[in-house]
Amino acid sequence: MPPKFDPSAVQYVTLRTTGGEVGASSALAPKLGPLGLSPKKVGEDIAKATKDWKGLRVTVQLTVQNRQATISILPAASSLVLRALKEPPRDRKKEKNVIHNGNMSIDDVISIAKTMREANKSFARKLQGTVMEILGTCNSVGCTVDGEAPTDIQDKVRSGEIEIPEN
Amino acid sequence: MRRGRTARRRRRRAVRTRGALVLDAEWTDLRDWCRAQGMPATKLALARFPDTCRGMMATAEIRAGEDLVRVPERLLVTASRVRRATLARARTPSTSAWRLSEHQALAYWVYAEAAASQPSAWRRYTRTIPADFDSVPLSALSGDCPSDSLSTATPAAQWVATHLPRAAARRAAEQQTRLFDDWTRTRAVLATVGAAPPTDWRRYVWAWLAVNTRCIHLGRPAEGGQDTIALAPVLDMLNHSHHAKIATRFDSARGQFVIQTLRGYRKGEEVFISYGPHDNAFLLAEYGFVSAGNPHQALELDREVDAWLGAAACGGDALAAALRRHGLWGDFTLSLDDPDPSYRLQAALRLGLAARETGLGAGGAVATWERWRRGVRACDSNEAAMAAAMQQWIQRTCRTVAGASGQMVRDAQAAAQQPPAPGRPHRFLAHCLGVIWLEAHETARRWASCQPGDAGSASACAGAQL
Repeated sequence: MPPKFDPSAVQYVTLRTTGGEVGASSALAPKLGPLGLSPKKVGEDIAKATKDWKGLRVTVQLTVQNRQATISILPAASSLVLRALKEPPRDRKKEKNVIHNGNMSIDDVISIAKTMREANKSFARKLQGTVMEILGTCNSVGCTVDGEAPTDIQDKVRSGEIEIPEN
Repeated sequence: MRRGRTARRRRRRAVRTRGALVLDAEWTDLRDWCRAQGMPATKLALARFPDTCRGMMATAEIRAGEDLVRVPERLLVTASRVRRATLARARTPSTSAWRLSEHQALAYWVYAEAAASQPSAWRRYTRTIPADFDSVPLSALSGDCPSDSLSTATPAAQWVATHLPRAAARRAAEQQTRLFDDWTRTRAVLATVGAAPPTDWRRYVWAWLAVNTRCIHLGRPAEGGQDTIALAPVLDMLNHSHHAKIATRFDSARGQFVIQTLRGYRKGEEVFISYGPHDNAFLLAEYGFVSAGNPHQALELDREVDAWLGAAACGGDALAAALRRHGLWGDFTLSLDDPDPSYRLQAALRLGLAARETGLGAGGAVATWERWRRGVRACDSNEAAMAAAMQQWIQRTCRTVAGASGQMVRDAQAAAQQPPAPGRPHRFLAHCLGVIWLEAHETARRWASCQPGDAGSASACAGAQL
């Protein structure tokens, strides 16, 4: 409508897709068609934008302005954890029920926690709380941290054996 | 080495100052008054530019991320401020009777300030509002007396009405309904409140358009929690460009509305803001200008599709209903840069073609179409035939559209050349219409000349054409 900088002129669509792959346009069509976007074109653009996340599930945000979409990737704990594991990219269609049994360092966890805090995705008061959240994600993914189970690391963080910086 | 006067002169000349500074009393009064009211100094000065007329020029280098302008809250004209001021002046103030929308309140404020016999401090601002909004189509079409439908009584209005693109004409008709609504409502409310209601329709149209073209979204509910739009002095001199990248916010700590630029400007350049991702028909109807090379521009084929679907042998209504159900009705567009027709147009064409060719009736066609929509792959020969049929339809339609729009381009360009005279359309409006029709014409010609089956090479065709 007439007033300048109308916030409703911009719409946001959030999708979760596999990085680096062109998704089925039938999955995108019901969301994007009514906004005047071409599912095929947007699907290709998403694949291009998520090249660094090949084979990982990522959360993508489309900023739609008058039939044109710009793509940004929202950080998600599980995507960041999986990327930090540095597993070789695998074909989603051939390998099923993948077990993530990699290992990562506590420093990786802390840097992921910082990313999540910057993106306003964690409501923890201190960085330590966010680190605990990320460790929980590690647990659910199935990887280890510094060679130990994430729950053990969580206990150590709680007892103060592992110090987490203030910010 | 010490540099002298000559070096300074050379340096000054090297900076391309593209605008001519405007230093008339109206502007300097407003600027000084705003500064006295607590507006922080800006790197902007009012200037005249060859393309955009009045605009803001950078007086020093502006880096990306800098704040362009900060308007303190006391300089923002909001609906609640208007309410307080009007009720304070009214003979029988009654707050409960004040039922005006924000736009209505602001339009009334502009009307009253401009008509007031005793100018208030705000006169400095209302004086800088343009004396007419002739380049907005509604200005020519709103008629001389209150009415809720567009008037084409004068030859100029007649010309504008016949040469307005459909999207803009629709918008203008909506505006006129709203305008008349606001007029009756404002008169009724002000009579009960005990203030002087507006009496001059043309002046009210002017005030209404001043608000329509100049108000901004605050992006937050202000004190009182109600205000979302406002008029802001100085800020409203900034012109629109689709290249501009800005962020706006309300800085509640300092009580200022802030516009931040996300790209830099050199000294002497015109500084732009973005009013929003609008196409040219919207820009012309709402703000009275167009932006050449607008990336949001698209050729709309709503009426053609509507007529074609309606003419289908089996229930065009059922087809339209199917499209409506999925939110795909209307806004059928072709664009110059996109190699494919828009998804909505594809959906409508596929549905219409299915209904024509299968002979299954509307129900069968919708079922076939639903399969496509859900992504079930049809066999390749069917798919190729469908693509060719779609291409054919687009070519046929675009040829007609290109012919009609070519005539419009010639008309508008001729009108833009003629010297101004009563009964003739406003020259800048004619020029804007020429730009819009030319873009439509080029898009139509490009789509009309593409060979069937090679949608991908459409951009190559465009390159050859232009």
